[in-house]
Amino acid sequence: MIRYLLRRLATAIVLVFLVLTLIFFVIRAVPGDPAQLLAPGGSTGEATEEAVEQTRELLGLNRPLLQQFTDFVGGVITGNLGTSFEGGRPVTVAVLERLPNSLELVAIASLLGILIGVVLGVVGTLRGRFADLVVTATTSFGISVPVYVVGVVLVYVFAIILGWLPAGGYAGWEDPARHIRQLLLPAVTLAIPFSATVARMTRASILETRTQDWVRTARSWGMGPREVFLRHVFRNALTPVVTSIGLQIGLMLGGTILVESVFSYPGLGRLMIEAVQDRDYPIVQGVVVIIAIIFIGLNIVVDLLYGVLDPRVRR
Amino acid sequence: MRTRYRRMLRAFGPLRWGAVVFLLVVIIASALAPLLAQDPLAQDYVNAGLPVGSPSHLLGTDGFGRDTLSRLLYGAGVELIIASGATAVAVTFGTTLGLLGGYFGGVVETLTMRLVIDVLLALPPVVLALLIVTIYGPGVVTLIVTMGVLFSPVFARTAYGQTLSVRRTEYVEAARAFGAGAPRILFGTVLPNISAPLVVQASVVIAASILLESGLSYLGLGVVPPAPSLGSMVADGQRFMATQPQLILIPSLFIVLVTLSFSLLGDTLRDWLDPRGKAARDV
Repeated sequence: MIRYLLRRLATAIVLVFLVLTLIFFVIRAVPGDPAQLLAPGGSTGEATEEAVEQTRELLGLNRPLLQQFTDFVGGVITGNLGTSFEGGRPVTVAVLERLPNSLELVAIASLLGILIGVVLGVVGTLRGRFADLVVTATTSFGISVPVYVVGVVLVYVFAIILGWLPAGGYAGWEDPARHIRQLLLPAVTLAIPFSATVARMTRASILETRTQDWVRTARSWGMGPREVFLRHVFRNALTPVVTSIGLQIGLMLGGTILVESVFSYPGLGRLMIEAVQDRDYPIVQGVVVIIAIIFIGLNIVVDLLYGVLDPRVRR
Repeated sequence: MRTRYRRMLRAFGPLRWGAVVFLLVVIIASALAPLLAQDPLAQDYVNAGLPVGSPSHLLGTDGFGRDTLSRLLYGAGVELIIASGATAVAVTFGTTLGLLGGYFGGVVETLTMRLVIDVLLALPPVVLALLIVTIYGPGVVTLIVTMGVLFSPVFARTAYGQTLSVRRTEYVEAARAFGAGAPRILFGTVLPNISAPLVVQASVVIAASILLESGLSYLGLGVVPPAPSLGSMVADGQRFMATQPQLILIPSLFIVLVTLSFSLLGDTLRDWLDPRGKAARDV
């Protein structure tokens, strides 16, 4: 198990390194001068000479390429993600300030989504065509609907028509009731497409597990359907679902960017969108790095969990 | 031939026919938008915020008096061009990488599948798309290329797995024995035999591209405003939500119908082209 863990960690570190390389070269592959492009007014081609020079200095583009690269990777390792174009704030500070809000949102949405998704998935395998039809229809819809549309429609129904919940914003933990009310709509929004995917995976996995020989054996021993389902079908069916849940939670980090915009929720996504609009490159880059690290970290956790659930994959 | 035709009919249910007809109507109507629709940018403050069913504006107008139906048609046209363009890029790029990686293995596999595909998969697509948009600015070409690269792993992985399973088959060996070169074997022999699952994936990826593109346009970072796009229609409509909910509901419903139709099309194609898969799922 230890060896498996170490091997997975090594792969992840290599992957993080490769992603950093990709990010590093995406900006430097710009035809012409990236400083010219990113300087204030650069997109319309009217950046002043000083502005371009200042941008070059800020991004370190005036140093040799190899040194830029080691500075960038070294910076990420030591937690220095550069400084924002606006006001010269350290990117790490700006990112860490918003990160907990996004993580809280994703965590709540994950719990909600797993709960709804697994229940829906199990219902979808019940006898009778009706349950199957309802679940298939709901999940197809859940997968096809863009997450921001879910958000906007939920705001319309629950904030505008019914007036039950706030349309957006954020409240700190000083007022727990308000905090939860503010979080409810964004979390449900994020959970809906996620739960549809989980439900589909769960359903498919249960249907497949049910045809296995050991299930037939258990049944032939005279085990009741409840016990067969709980002990032999459900547990085994969940193993592949766990993997997909990990990937989906990672993708939710992307989804929060849109959801936070719908609800003006002060998380990492909102920070990123504002930075994209202001063309504040260091902030955008910082957010991408953080999300990549979380995403890859999440994948290791899932792999390890998979190893615990199914000892066969450890080799 | 006859069984093939029957299999095709069986793969389409009434709902799936509905999806196909709907997509065809949308494609034709948006292609003919310059003839059918009004100017999607024409502002008319006298007729701002008209309700659905107004005589000269069938789906009403928005807060600037722009005709909703016209914006919907033009927006759908741009959306379909971007989504199909991105999918074409993704199919070409991804399939080539997958074929090369699967056929040659070794170093080539490391270069294609590990170095490119695994790295692309290490980030949610929206995040990488936003990074590119920050640098190059929004726009149709940027979107097509970026989303094409971002969605290529789906095709690369499918092509890779399929190539691995056919590269030792007799017919590939036979082609090699006849002296066919690697490009000829890959694109002439292997590709036609592994194309069915790739076609199925393509309709899934079109739907995913529409979701991603409309999301970026919702943020104002996709199609450049004021050009009409489905995502920005929802964003614009949000301000008038309390009094004119149709401004968000109409484009929202439209996007859902289009993506839903594409995924139904995907299911249909899978049942039609890959009946073994269906049998396995129906157990």
